[in-house]
Amino acid sequence: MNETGIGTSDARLLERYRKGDEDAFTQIFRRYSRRLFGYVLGLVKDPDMADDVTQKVFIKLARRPEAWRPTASFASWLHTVARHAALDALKSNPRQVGLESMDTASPAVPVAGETPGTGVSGDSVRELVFGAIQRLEGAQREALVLREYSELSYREICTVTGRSLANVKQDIHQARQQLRSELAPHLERTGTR
Amino acid sequence: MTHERWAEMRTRYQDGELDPETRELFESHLESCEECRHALDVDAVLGQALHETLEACYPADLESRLRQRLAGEAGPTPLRRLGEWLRHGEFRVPVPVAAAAVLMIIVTGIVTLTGRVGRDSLTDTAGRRAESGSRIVEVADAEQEIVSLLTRTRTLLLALSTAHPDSSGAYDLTAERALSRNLISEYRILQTRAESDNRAEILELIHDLEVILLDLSTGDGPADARQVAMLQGGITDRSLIYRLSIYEPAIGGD
Repeated sequence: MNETGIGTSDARLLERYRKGDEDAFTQIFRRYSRRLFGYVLGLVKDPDMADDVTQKVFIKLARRPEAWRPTASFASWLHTVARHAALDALKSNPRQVGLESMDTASPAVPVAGETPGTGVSGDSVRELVFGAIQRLEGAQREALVLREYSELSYREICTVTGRSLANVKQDIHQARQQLRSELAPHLERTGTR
Repeated sequence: MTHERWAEMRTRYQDGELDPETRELFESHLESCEECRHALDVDAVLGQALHETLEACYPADLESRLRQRLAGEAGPTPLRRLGEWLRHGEFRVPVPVAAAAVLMIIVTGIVTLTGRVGRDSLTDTAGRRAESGSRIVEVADAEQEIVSLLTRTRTLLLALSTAHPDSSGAYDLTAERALSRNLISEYRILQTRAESDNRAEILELIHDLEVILLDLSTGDGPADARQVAMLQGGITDRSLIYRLSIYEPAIGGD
């Protein structure tokens, strides 16, 4: 059995878990935990809080897998649960920077090595990228991370964020535009083109 | 078309959100547009960097810590919540519940003795229930009774889920029908108490169980494949076996 159960549908894995197959839960965790953590980190901007929220989402799934109904994609449902948990965590931690209020302070990003295609150390590129992502407007950042990192479709992003399809398209488009204008000069200087 | 329109189309192109016709149109444009090709190149690098940045933040020990938390730090399990409700509510099993349990044991025993129950799980349960029948009546401990009720229901549903037809393609559900009738009467009493205490979790479970138990109990004689498939589908759709299993000490981990 492969690590993330690639090829096995989410519904099938959940069904196996409901019947007592703990390995199926592990596969779901490995399939989604990185995407959820990255998404939540984009929302709460604090690795410890993102860690805690991600765990809570999987605890909820472990305790009540029947909470997901096949009327929505499992991926979008799981991200929606994570979104609510992240917003709850932000509410109970008023000092934490939230979804809408942005600053340029970045959490420590543990990086090492060289980013392919840039010819520069991963540290530099990742810090630049992280800083630029942090400066995006909240809805744009959320939509971009859901698309690029969580690999959700536009429709799924609408489900998770509650925004219209037109807004989601616009958010992603503007987010990329801003990142390009901010980062392209750095990438060109470091040999991307 | 303005270049801003092409740029918006480019975003949907790179996300695979264009229909085949529009994608072909955009690819034609791409051949002659240096700006769009450049934007796609830069976005690819930025996308890769975004992945690496978030990957680098991912805590490697998250899975092991989650396992620890699931094992004991994630708050009360359904079984514990049930116990707390019963203890704090000073809930005691009403006599009819115990009576119904005894009746169920007798029915199960008779059915088993006449050889009409083909499933091992039901036979085993009947034996265990018969052995402990007097204890149930004497102890009358609410939590134990209700966990027992849920466990017996789960055993019934498991048997139904794995039922096999006889050589004529019919399913002999005599034992299951008799059990379901007895279980329904027990659930009615539990439901009354759960309603007065506003226990939504228990009420939701009882409601979902009743749908299956009523369907099962109202039938008569052998069932055909379609009827059994509907019952099995109802069990699966409502995740009933899993939801019942989490109230079992041996399975639920309490």
